[in-house]
Amino acid sequence: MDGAIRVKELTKIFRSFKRREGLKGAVLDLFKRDYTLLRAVDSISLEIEPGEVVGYIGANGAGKSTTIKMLTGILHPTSGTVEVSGMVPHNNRIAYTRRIGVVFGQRTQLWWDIAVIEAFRLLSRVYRVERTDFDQRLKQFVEVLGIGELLHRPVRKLSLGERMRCDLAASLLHNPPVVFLDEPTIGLDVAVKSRIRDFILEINANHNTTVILTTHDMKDIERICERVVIIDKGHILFDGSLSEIHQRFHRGRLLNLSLGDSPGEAAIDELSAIAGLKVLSNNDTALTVAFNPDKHSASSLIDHVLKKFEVRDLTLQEPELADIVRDIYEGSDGGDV
Amino acid sequence: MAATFDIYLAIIRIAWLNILAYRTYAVMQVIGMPIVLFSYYFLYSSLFAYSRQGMEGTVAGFDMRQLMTYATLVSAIRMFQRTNIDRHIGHRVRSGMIAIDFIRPLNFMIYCFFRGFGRTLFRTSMIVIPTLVLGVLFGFLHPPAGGVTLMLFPVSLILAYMIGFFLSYIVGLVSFFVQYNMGIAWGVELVISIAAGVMVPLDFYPDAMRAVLQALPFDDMIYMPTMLYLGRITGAEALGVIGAQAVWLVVFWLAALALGRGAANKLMVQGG
Repeated sequence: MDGAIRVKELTKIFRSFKRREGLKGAVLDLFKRDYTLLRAVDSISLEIEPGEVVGYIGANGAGKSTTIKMLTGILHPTSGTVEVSGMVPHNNRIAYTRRIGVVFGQRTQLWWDIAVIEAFRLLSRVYRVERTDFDQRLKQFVEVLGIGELLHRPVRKLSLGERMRCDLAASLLHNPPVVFLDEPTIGLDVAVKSRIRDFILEINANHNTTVILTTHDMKDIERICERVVIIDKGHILFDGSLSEIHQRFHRGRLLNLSLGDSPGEAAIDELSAIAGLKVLSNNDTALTVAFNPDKHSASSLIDHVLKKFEVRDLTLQEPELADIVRDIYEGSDGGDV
Repeated sequence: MAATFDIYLAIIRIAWLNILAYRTYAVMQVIGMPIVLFSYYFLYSSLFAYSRQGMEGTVAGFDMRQLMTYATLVSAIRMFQRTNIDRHIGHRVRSGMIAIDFIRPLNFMIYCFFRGFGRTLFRTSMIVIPTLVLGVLFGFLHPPAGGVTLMLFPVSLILAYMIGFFLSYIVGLVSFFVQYNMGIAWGVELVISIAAGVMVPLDFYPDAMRAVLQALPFDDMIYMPTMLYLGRITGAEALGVIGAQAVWLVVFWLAALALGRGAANKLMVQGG
């Protein structure tokens, strides 16, 4: 089906050559090389339906980009199968790439020395876009992304945020049923990020475009992704909706306290001993406590700490996706509180 | 097909624009060219001066006039033929930009060819033609020998260009396997300067070495077309040169296709 992605037991193993140290090692390397095998992606299975917006996240080196590169047909899998819109990406690369859009946030697909509009025109020829479609899409992209003033500038004169918006437009000129966005918000300011998120949502809403997005900014995920896939060391750690993440990797609500005095160790130990409660950080007069809302109500906990400590200020905080995800990356599930 | 051609014209144009940064390089090449040509001149002059027959004689069958025409022409043909696609691919692989080349619905080999061709147009207008003009001004470059053979010269030149492209492309593809192909690129460059007759005509080498070099494809890239221009190879032998070039072209093309298939499997993308 157009826009559907089927991935089964996808695996990519890289063989990399281990360099020995020093001059002697370098000479030895010339004669006999040692190789290490890295399972960058290890038996991943995924089913994505047309029109889904999926956040594909993981720590650096988790295997995100390698997966994207297999899905886009750049890398050949070591084993397993990939099918996007009914096509096998690496088998028929040229026909396949006509039917996808790709943004690699860290590299531009525009040409350094030519004006943005010329690059767009050239791409529209490469992708065989009808003139009227091109004009209409360009008009829409210019409006939503605010790139009207950039069109006649050469790409080398664009700032990162400007370039990224143009790259995003370039990847969608041929209205592909699937787009892969590999870190499209990397290094961008809040305003540009927000513009890009709006744009992705609009494209998805108008054309039912399937969107696969990798990012390190959890705000991207919260704003636009219905579904999140977390990958770690080449394995899928979690695949589900945003609210499921909150349920499954629950780390409780947070109570931040600012104290008049540094609390004694005994008082901290006493607090930690209470079931369903955990002292997350204790930094002189700042104290953060996580608690399980099923066991303690916020009011009773506040009541308790007000009696024990000299509290100057306090705030209640819902757990942030970024914190949850950080805990997942670091291999803990936030502790049982 | 018309639409496709349109795309390749655009690739040529982009190659051209990208090279504008190399204008200084082109100017340096043109400025350096008289030094190269005069070095040949002084070298060959002394060669003739100390030869038994003196300046009016011949060395390895060449007279001074032919030898200077040879020197000018091989310098120009090498300039014309260098597409630098080996370096281009090597750089793309090393920087990870190769990923961008692979998300486009374009045949990579054809894309590289037109990119290289854009560079050739640039080199031809900025370096090759000035070199030929200098050759004429200095009295080094003389008109070709006439006859049917001369009509074979452009054909031979085109075949030589294509062989040169495929060799460069193959060296470029090597970077998919070794990550860094500059060492190999320089090695091939050195082999070309010796085995294709850029330094001195193959006729200067001992017979055994010459036989080996003529069995290799490199002489078909520069030496043979130049010999056709000079009229030192004629008739059936000249047709034989064209035939040999065509055979090498097919061999290189098939090798490029096979290597390209293997390379796609081997590809690693550097960084993020």
